[in-house]
Amino acid sequence: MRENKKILKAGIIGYGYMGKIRKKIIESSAVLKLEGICDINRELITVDQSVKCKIYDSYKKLIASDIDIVFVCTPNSFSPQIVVDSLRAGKHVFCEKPPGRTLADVKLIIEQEKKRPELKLMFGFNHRYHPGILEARTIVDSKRFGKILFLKGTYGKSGGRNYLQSWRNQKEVAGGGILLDQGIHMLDLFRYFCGNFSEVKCFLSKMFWDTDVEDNAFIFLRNRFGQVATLHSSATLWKHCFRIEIFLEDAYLIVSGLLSKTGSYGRETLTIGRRQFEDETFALGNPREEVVYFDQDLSWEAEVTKFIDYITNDNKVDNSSSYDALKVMEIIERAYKNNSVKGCPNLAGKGDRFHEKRSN
Amino acid sequence: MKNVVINETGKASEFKPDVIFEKYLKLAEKDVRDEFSQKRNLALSNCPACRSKKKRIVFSHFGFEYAECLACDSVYMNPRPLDAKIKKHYLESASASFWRNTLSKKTEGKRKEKIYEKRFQWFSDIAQNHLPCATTIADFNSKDPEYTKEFLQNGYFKRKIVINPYFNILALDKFNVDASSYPVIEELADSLEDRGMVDVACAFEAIDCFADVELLLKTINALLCKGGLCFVTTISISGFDLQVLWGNSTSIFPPDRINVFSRKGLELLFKRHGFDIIEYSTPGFLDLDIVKNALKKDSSIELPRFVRTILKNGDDQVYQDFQEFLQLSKLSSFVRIVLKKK
Ligand SMILES: [Zn+2]
Repeated sequence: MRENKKILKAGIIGYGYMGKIRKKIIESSAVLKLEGICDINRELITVDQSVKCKIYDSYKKLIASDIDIVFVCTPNSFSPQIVVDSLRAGKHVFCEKPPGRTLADVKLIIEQEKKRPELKLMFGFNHRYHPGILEARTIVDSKRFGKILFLKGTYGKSGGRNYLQSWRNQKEVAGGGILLDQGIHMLDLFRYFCGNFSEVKCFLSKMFWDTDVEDNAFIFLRNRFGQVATLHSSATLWKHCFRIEIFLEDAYLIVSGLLSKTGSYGRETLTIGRRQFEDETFALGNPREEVVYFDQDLSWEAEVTKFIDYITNDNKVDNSSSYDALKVMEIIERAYKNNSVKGCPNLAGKGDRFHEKRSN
Repeated sequence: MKNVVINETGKASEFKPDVIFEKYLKLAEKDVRDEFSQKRNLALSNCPACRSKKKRIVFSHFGFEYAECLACDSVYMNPRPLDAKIKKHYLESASASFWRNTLSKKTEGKRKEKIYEKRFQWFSDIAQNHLPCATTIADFNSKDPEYTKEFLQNGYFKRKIVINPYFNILALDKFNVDASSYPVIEELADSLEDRGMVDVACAFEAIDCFADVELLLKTINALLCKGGLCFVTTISISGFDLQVLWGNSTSIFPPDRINVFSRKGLELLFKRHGFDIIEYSTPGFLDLDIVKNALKKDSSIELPRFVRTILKNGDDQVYQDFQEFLQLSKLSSFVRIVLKKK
C-alpha cells in the first residue's frame, strides 16, 4: 500500500542567494509545496520567470497565510524577529545561518521556541550534510581510528569587487564579518565532531578590506577533554579554500573542497591516512592515503529531508537545532570579546582601490 | 558515486613473477584447448553487459575468439563454454592446480599484504559506514583457498558463507580451517534458501570468468537484504593497459577472463540488475608496469609513440603521477565497485 504523505505548504522570506536555493529544493520535494515568497524588494521575485507562487511584500502577511513552514533567508539583522514572529504564528521554521547578529538574538528565538514546543525549528548548517563530512563523521563515530586529538580548519574566500557593498560585510546588518558569515560553518563542524568548547582564544584582523568588520579571524578552542581546534576564517584567501583536518589517534581525515554550484572551492574529497610510525614504513611520515572523490552534493536536499522528518514524525530536532545555534554563537561572541586586536596596527585599506565608486 | 584514489606503488611481478606466470599461461593454454575445443561445449552469446547483438571480432586467445560489443564497448569471449565446464576446469585442470599450489604460494606474502588485507579493510570500512549492523557476508566464486582461508578468519562479520567455490573446499583442511563449520553453497541459483539474509556479498574477479553473468547477479541480488552491499573487483577493457595492449595483453584469456567489460557496460549491467553504484574506482597501480613488461617481452608490439616515450624516459615519479591520473580519471584497468541493492 502506498503511504499517503501529507503535503506541507511552505513559504520563503527573503529572495536572495539562499532564497533561490531553497525554492529549488522545495520544488523538487515530493512533500513540500511552495505557496508564497516574500521580499521587501519585490522586483527580485518578479524578474524571476520561474516563480509561479503568490508574491508577498510583507512577511507578516505571508506567515498569516495558510502555510505550515517558513524558510527564513533574510540578512542577519532581520532573521531573529521573523523567526520569532513565525513561531508565534504557529509555523515550523527553517532559518539560514547565522541565526542572528548576536547571542542575544538566538536567546530571543529560543525563548519563543520554548513557548511552542510542538513546532520544529532548524538552522541551515548545511555543511554537516556534505558527503565528505558525512563520511568523515561515520568514520569518527565508528571509533576504529580512536579518539580525535585535534581539528584544524581553514575556510576562506577572496572577497570581490562588491565586497564592501554587500550587507554581509556591514556590521549594522550582519553583526560581524567573515567569522560570522562563513567561519560559523567551520565552528559548527568543530562542535559536530568534538562537542562544546570551553576555552576560546581569538585574533581578529582587518588586513585588507576597510570595513567595520573583520576580514580575518584566527581562533583557538579547547574542550574539557583537551581536544583542540583551530580555525582560520578569511576573506583574503585569494584561492578559495575549505579544508578541515581531523587528527585521530590512529589516522587522519581531511575533507577538502566543497561540491558547490560554481565549484570554486575545488573538488570535494575525503583523504584517509592511517598512522604509520616512521620505523614501521619506508614512507617516513608520508603514509599510504586513500582519497575519496565525491561528485554529488545532496546536502541541501538532505538537510531539508531531515527537517521534514522532524515535522512528520514529531521528533526532537537534534541536528542543527537552536541549541547548536546557541552554542556556536557563544563561541563567536566570546571570540569577538576575546579578540586581542587592541594595540595591533590596523592594516586595512589596501582593498580600497577596488572600490572607487564606493557609495558610503 | 564516489571514486577512490590510492597512492600505492608496486610491480606486476610481485603478483605474477615472470617465469612462473609464463609457465601458468602455457599450462592454461593446453588445458583450455583440450577442454573447450569441442564446439558442442560452447554457446553463442549476446553482449553479457548490455545484451546487444551488435559486435565485431577483435582478437583471439588460445584459439578462441573475442568480440567487442558495438553498443557498450565491452569485450567478451564468443562462443563461450558453459559454467559447469568452467568450474570443472578450475577444480581439476593442471593449470588451476599450478595456480593454487605454485603461483599463489610463491606470491603469498604480497597477495596477503596488498590484495587480501586491502579488500578486507575496504569492505569492513564501507560496511561500517553504510550498514553498521551487518552480520552476514557471502563470498562468491573464490578460486583461491588461500584467500578463502583469510576470508573465513577475518573477524569483522559474525556469519560467513562461501558460495560456489572454484576449488575443493576440503583444501581448506591444510590451513587448519574446518570448512564444515561454515555454510558452503556449491551451486548458484536465485532460489537459494538464504534469500534476503545476506548483508554483504563479495564477488572478487567473479564476473570475469562466469559465463552466465545474469545468473550470478540474480543470485547475489536475491541473497542480499534491501540496501545490502555487493563488492566487486574486475578488470575493465576501458583501462589503460588493456586499451594500449589490446590483443597483446596477457591478462585476457579463457576462462579467467571471458568477460572484459567496459565502464559503460559495467554500469548498464549493474543498473539492469537492480543495483545503485555507490563507488566506482580504478585504484590500479600496475597499468604502466604491465605495458612496460609486455614491451620487454616482445619489442615488436605496436605502441603509441607517446606511451613508448613515457616508458623509456619516465622515472618512478612519472609512473606514480601517471597512475594517479589514471585513477582520478577512472582509467586504470583494475576496477573496484560497491553496489547497493535498491
Ligand atoms: Zn554491450
